[in-house]
Amino acid sequence: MNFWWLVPEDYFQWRSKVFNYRERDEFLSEEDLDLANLDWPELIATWNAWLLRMQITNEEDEDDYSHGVFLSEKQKRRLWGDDWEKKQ
Amino acid sequence: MTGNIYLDLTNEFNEGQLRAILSSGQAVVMHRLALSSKDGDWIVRETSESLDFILRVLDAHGARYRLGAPLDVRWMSGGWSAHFEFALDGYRARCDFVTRPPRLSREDLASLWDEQEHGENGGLEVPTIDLRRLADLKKTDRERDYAVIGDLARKMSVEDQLLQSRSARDLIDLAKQYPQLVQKLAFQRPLLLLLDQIGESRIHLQRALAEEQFDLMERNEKRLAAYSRASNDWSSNWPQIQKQLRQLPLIQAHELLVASARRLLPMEVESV
Repeated sequence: MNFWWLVPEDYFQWRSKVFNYRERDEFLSEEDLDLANLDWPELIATWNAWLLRMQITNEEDEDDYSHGVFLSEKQKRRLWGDDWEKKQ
Repeated sequence: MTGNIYLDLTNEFNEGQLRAILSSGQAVVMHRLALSSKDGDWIVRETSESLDFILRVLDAHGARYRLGAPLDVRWMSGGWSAHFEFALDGYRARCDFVTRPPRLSREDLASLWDEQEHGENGGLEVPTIDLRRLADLKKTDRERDYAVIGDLARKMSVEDQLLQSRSARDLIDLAKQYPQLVQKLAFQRPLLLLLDQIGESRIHLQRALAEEQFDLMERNEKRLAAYSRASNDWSSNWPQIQKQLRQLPLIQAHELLVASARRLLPMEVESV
């Protein structure tokens, strides 16, 4: 159970000042953002290794589209439900 | 040769002149943010010369058409996308092309090409879409794309951050430092007006960000639905068309595809 709502707002301001604690909205993971620390050869090597590793999902996403205006049947169902054809 | 398939393709497409700007997932990598896409995406110049050149590069790699529009000015100018696939060194390489990316105005697109022609590429190693326009492209119907926008925004100028940020905390901090800029930009992004009323609670801004995201997702869904309706006949006939295409080298397959598309795929899509 989360009881943070019971804690006075003052506490968070005190915590920030005393511990130099800065709350920050998190989006991508630390691993993702670590790309910024790679030099060019490291980036290429990491990129290529990732692309090779991800080939394992080729069967699963064989019909899918990552961008553009076309969608696979599976993507249409995910977006608009099983009766997507009727909705169009 | 860089050793990376999508960078090398970008260089091949741009041999002799600028024809293709790396976009979407691989552009996110170039901006040093995240590895998340196996496919290559490019914004390509809307000229017959550019599209024919790119087709020849793809042909040399043994590429085949996937279900999509022909890589032809007549359809690309209607906002359609063209899709290809080939195998190389253990990779399934997918290449997706548009000439009219969504959410970029004609003027902004022209400026993008102008900037790239003048070498204004943010010091990146191949022609790559910039942070702001990349964020606009990422305003899709997929939740995960908004996480990418969140971190893309943190690399932008202050003005662009105010217009693109997904973080209530970041916006509040920026508003404290640049209140006049917030006033100036509020007409472009109405939720910035809430920054005047925040006090110590960001809940209203957080809700406004969520509503903004929902609105963007819904708009993209409607756009995709319009193209989906318009391509019904094309998609239904694709299995037969693909059987014929498989037996032909890409350049000849392209001619056949264009002939089929003239019958079955409208060049323009209404209500988009």
